[in-house]
Amino acid sequence: MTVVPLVLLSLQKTNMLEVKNLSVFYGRIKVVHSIDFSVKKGSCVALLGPNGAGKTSTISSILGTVSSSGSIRFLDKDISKMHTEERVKLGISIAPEGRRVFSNLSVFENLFIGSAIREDRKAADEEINAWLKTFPILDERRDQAAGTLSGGEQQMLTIARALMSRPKILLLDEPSLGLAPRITRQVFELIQDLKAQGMTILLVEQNATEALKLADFSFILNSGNVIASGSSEEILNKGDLMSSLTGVEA
Amino acid sequence: MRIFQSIRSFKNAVWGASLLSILVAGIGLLVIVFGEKYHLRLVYAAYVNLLVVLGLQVFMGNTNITNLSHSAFMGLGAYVAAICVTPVTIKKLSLPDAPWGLNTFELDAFSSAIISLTITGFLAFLTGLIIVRLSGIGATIVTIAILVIVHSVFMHRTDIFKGKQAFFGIPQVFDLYSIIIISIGVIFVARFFRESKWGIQLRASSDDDTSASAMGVNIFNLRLFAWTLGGLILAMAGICYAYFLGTISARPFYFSHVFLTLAMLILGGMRSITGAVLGTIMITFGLEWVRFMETGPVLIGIKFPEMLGLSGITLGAVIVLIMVLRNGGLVGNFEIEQMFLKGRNVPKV
Amino acid sequence: MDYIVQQTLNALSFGAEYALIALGLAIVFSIMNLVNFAHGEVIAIGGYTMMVMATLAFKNPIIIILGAVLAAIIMALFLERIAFRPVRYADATTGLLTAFGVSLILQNLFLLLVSPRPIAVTSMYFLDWPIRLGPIQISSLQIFETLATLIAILLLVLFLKKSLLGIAMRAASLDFEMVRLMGIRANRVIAAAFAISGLLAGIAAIFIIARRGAVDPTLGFNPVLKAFVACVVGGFGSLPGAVLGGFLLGALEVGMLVLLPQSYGGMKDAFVFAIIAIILVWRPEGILSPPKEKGDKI
Ligand SMILES: Nc1ncnc2c1ncn2[C@@H]1O[C@H](COP(=O)(O)OP(=O)(O)OP(=O)(O)O)[C@@H](O)[C@H]1O
Ligand SMILES: [Mg+2]
Repeated sequence: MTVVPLVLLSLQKTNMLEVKNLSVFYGRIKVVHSIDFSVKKGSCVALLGPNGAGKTSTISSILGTVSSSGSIRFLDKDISKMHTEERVKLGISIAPEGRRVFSNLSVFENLFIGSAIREDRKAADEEINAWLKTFPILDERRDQAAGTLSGGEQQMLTIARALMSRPKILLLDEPSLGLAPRITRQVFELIQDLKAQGMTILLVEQNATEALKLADFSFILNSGNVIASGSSEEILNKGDLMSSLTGVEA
Repeated sequence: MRIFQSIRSFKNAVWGASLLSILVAGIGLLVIVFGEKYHLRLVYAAYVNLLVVLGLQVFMGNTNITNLSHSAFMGLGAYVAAICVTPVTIKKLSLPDAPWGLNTFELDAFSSAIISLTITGFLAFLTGLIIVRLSGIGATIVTIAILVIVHSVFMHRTDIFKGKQAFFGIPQVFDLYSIIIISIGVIFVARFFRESKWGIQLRASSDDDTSASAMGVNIFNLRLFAWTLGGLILAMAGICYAYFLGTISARPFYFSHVFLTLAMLILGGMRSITGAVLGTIMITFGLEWVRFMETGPVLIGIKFPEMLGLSGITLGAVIVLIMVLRNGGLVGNFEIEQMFLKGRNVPKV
Repeated sequence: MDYIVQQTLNALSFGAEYALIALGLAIVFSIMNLVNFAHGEVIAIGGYTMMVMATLAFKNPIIIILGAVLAAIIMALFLERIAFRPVRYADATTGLLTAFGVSLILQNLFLLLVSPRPIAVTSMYFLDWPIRLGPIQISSLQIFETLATLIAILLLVLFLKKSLLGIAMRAASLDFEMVRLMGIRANRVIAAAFAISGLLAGIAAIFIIARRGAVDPTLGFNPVLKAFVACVVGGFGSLPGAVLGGFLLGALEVGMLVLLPQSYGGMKDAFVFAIIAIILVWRPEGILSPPKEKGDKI
C-alpha cells in the first residue's frame, strides 16, 4: 500500500479538499483505515471501489454524518470538528446515495429547501426556475410530491437540489445507481456540464468506465484502504486491477 | 431441555434466581425477627410492589414496549379475589346492590385466587390480542387506555367495587411468610422466562424487528404469551395485596402506583431480573427516607419545612436521570450470578 | 333539530380542544419521535401563569393571555433544552419514559410550590357568556374555542407550506439527516417544533381555564391523555391525523353523553377509550398513518 503520490499531491496549495489519516467508525467497528486523498479546485476526482469498500462512509465523513478521526481540511480550514450544518454553509453539498429526495415535499419545495442557506432569495428563485426549464419533466411535476418521480427524475432533482446551495464542491454518491443506460448517460452529461462550468466534484461510482472518462484523478478504495490512485490513464493501464475490482474490462 | 437453548442458560437461570431469592428472603426474615409491627406492613407492601415490578418486567423487559396498565391488572386481581373470598354476611352489608348474585356466595381463599387468576389472565389475553398488533408507541397508548377504562369501571360501578370507598372484610389469609414464598416463585418464573428460548427470541426481536421476523419467529404469539404471563403475575400481586390488607379501594390502582413501580423497574434496569429486584429495594428504602423528609421533620436541631410532593419529584428525577445517563438502568443486561460465575462465559443477550 | 345543532357545537368545541393539544403532540413526535407526556404540564404552566398574573393585579385580559401563551412556549423550549435534547437520538421508549419523569417532576413541583388544591383563576371568565340563536342556547366559549382552533390550524398549515422552516419541518419528519445536509440546523427545526407545541398548549390552557375557572397540578394531564389517544387513532405523527383524531374523540364523547343513561355518565371515558381500542384493531397504524420510508432507497 504505497501512498507516495498522495503525499506529493497534497503539497500543492490549490487543494480545495484535503483529507489525511481519515478513519471512519460505526460504533466500535472501523470501516475506513487512515486514508489520504485530496481534491483540487476545479477538478473532478473519482472515488472508486467495489461494494462495501467504504466509499459512502468516506463521503459521509466529509459532511460529518458519521463519526471519524483524522484531519479533513476544506479551503485550508480544519472542518473535522464542525457540525454538519456548518460544513454545508462553508460550501460542501451532497447528492447522496439512494437520492433521498424529500418524497413528501413537492419538486419545487425540494429545490427551495436546497437553497436554505442562501440569503439572495431572488437569485435563488430564478435559479429554481432555470432548473425547472432545464428539466421540463420536473417543471411538469413542479407541485407534485417528489416521491412520485421516476428514479432518473429523482436523481436529476437530487443533483439540482444539491446545487441550489451554490456549493464550492459537490459530492456525488453513485448518481447512476439503478438507472437505465439512457438515463445514466443523461446524468453523466449533466456532470460533464457542471465540470465544464468549473465545479469541483468528488464522484463516487460503481460505473468505473464512465467515471474514469470524467475524472481528472481517481482513488481506488478496497476494504477501507486506498489501494491505488492516479490519472484515468494510469488506472486504465492497470487493467488487471480494474477488472478484479469493479468487474469492468479495461 | 427444549425450553432452554442450552444447559448453561438453564443453570444460569437457577443460579441467578436462587441468589435473588436468598437476598429477598433474607431481607424479609430480618424484618420478621427485628422489625416492629408497622415495619411488617411496609415490607409487605414492598413485596407486593416487587411482584408488580416482576410482572411488568416479563413484558416490558423482553419486548421493550412500555406498559402502563400494570396497576389495573393488579387491581383486577385484587378485586376479583376479594369479591369471591369475602363472607356473604359482610357483602350483604357492603355490596347490597351487587348484580349477578355477587353478594350471595363465598369461596375459600384458594379457589378465589384461582378464579381471580383465571379471569384476570383471560382479560390480559384479550387485551393482549390488541396490544401485540400495535407498534411500540401505539401499544403504550393503548395500555393507558386500559388503565383508564379499568379505573373508571372501578370508580363508577360502586355496586360491585365500591369505588373510592373501602371494600372491607376481606379475610386476612396471608402473612409475610406467604408473600416471601410467592415472591421466590415469581422470581424463578420471570427468570426462567427471560432465559428461555422464547425470552431470548423476544429480546432479539425487540432490538430489530426485521431480523427477527426473518428468523421465522412468531413475534406476535411470543408477545402475547409474555403479556398474559405478566398479567397473571400482576393478578397474583393484587391477590396478595387484598389477602393481607383486608381492605382495598380503587385509588391505589392508578397513575401514582404506575409511576412508582415503573421507576423501580427502570432504575434497576428493565432487561434484567436482578435489575428489577435491585430497583425495587432501592426505591422502597429511598422513598421511606424521602417521605420522612416530606413531613417536615426536625433533624440535628433544624426544623425542615413540610414538603409535600418531594417523593413524586424524586421518582421523576430518578426516571429522567436514568434515561439520560444510563438508559439500560443501573445493571443493564447484568444478572447477579455473573458476579460469581465470572470465569465461565455467560451468554450475553 | 335544535338539539342536534347544539350537540354538534358541543362536539366541535370538545374536538377543537383535543385537536389543539393533539397537534402539539404530533408535531414534536413527527420530527423527533418523542412522545411528549410532559405536554400537559406545559398547559399547566399556562394556567399557573394566569394565576400569578391575576394575583399581581394584571387586569388586561389580552396581556394575561399573551403572558400565558408566552410562558407555555418558553416552558416547552426549556424542557427541550434540558430534558429532551440529551435523549434526542435515543429510541422512542427512552424518550417516552423521560417525558414521563419530567411530567411527574413538574406536577409535584406545582404541588410543592403552589398547592395540591385547585386555585381559582377567574380572569378568563369574560370569554364565556350565553348566546341565544333562536331556540338554541350556546356558549360563546364554544365558538371562540372552535374558531381559535380552526385559525391555529390554518396558520400552521400556511407556516408548514410557505415558510422555509415549515418546509424543513415537514422534510425532517421523513429524513432529518437530509435536512441537516441542506445546511438547516437541527436545533432550529426542533426548537421550532417545541415552540409551536408550546404555543398550541398555551392556547389550550386559556380555554381550559376559561371553562374550569381553576388551576391545579393535574390541569393538563387528563386532556393530554385524551389527546394521545386522538393522536394514535388519527395515526401518530400525522398532523391531519391528529386533527381528525381530536374531532373524532370530541364527537365520540358527546355521542356517549347523549346516548348513555345518566347513571353511566361517569363511565363516558371508559366507553370512549374502548371504542378507540376497537378502531385500532381495525387499523393498527391509525386512520391516517404517516408515510415511513426515507426517500427513494434502491
Ligand atoms: N450504519 C452502518 N453501521 C454499521 N456498518 C456500516 C454502516 N454503514 C456501512 N457499514 C459498513 O461499512 C462498510 C463500508 O460501507 P459503505 O457504505 O461505505 O460502502 P460503499 O463503498 O459505499 O459500498 P456501496 O458501493 O455498496 O455503496 C461496509 O462493510 C458496511 O457494512
Ligand atoms: Mg455506497
